[in-house]
Amino acid sequence: MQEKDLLESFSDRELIEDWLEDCREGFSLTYYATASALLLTRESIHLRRLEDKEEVKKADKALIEYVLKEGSQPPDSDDPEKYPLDHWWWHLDRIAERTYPADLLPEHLREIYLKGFLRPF
Amino acid sequence: MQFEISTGRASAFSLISQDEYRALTREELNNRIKAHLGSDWLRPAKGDKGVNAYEKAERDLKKHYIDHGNELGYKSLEQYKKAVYDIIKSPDMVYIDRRKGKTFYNFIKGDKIVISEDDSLRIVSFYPFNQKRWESFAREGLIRIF
Repeated sequence: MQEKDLLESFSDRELIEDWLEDCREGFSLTYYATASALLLTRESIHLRRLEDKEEVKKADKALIEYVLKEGSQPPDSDDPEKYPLDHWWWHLDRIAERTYPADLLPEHLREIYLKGFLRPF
Repeated sequence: MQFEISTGRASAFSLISQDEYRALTREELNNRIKAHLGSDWLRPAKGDKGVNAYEKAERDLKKHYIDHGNELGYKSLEQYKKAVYDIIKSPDMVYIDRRKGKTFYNFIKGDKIVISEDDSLRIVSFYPFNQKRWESFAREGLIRIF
């Protein structure tokens, strides 16, 4: 489990802007080759307690919507199982497959996730 | 030189893709491979422009280095950034992988893999290669061209 902020040289603003951009497009966070490095952004946002900022919540929602619609691959270069299950961003493939435990998601994401069960894979 | 096709999950898209590459001569395939020597980490994704896009590409490179540089044995970002060209220049294997309409060249040498997006000639990742895990991903099409 990662406890150190690996992106400590990045400012809060840079992390948030990168997260907004990556979630807007969605692809890079869900492609096996790029996901591991770019998901470090969300881990640092979590470690710095920035995740309750409205812009981060909005980006998180956009990502969950994307994943439910387009699917997701796990990172090739990292083992998502080494991260706690409640760090949902490492488990986007399980969210895409609707096998992620809904109760581990924050409320604003859980609602979107559960609605996703009504839509075809 | 080898040219073989791994169908993965069959789709109309992948079949079109396979036909496209079957039609190419060995020389044409080699030229497509060589074109990736012109790939760059800092080339923004297609459609992204301006200083912000360039700075984002720089930060993405730094994240890849933080994630993989040490485990690959590189002591600096500059070393990591430049090492991809040694692999693209003389790979053991080259595969073309397609996902969501994008085409990626996978350059594999020993225990390292470099991935370059074909449309934008942009290096998107460089990390340790684990063949078993890499082969396990479902793909729209995977073609070995070298």
